[in-house]
Amino acid sequence: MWSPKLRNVWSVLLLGFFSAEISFALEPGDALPEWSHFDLEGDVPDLAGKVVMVDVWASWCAPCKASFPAYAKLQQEWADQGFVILGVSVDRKSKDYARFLKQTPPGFATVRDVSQKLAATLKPPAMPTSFIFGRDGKLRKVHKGYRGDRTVELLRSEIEPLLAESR
Amino acid sequence: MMKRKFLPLLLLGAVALVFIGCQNVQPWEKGLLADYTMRADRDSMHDAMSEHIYFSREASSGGRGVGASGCGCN
Repeated sequence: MWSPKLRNVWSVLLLGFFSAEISFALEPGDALPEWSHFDLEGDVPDLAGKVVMVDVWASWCAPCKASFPAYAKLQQEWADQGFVILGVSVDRKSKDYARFLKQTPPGFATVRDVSQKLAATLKPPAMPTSFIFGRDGKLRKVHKGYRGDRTVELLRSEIEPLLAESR
Repeated sequence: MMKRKFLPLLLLGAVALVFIGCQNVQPWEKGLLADYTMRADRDSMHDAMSEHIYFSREASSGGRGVGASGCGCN
């Protein structure tokens, strides 16, 4: 129907049209992000050889706030076994982030993803989302949302075997 | 013949123009929607005035359950 030239034009147009929607989220087996590549406010603790749970949260997210006490308890319980939670706030305003931390200290280390580049890399499917990395720095599990005790039990069953793994 | 060839391109262009204004809000960007400026009731004076206009103008057809003439005098 169309000449090869016109077909090429079509292909380029269609590709351009849909490329904005093509994106790749972090998949299980992918490595922990290189923190220095991102514009983060706050200090990232030493994560080498540890089981790391990266929790993406925001001050405007009520379930995130609800999850903090339970997550802080998990960190406290497993800290000596090498378990670290790193909260990543996607708040756009530093003021909101600071005010929230003052009112509701999360009980684990957190940083703010200033330019939201880290969020765009992790692509959390919901708020909050927890990305669990093994001691080898590879992504093992992704948890969407927070559903109270059900989520905590699930996290326990997934993190405990990871803690038992050697480096 | 030329017209028939370029018609699909024109259609695609038209569709692209429609969709160019669409933007998905990602889960981590929803703070924008939760912002104070996105609230419909952020200006209480504007709300009061809008409510008065609605009450007055729609009164003749029973706006807010009260019948009146629509003059805005009640």
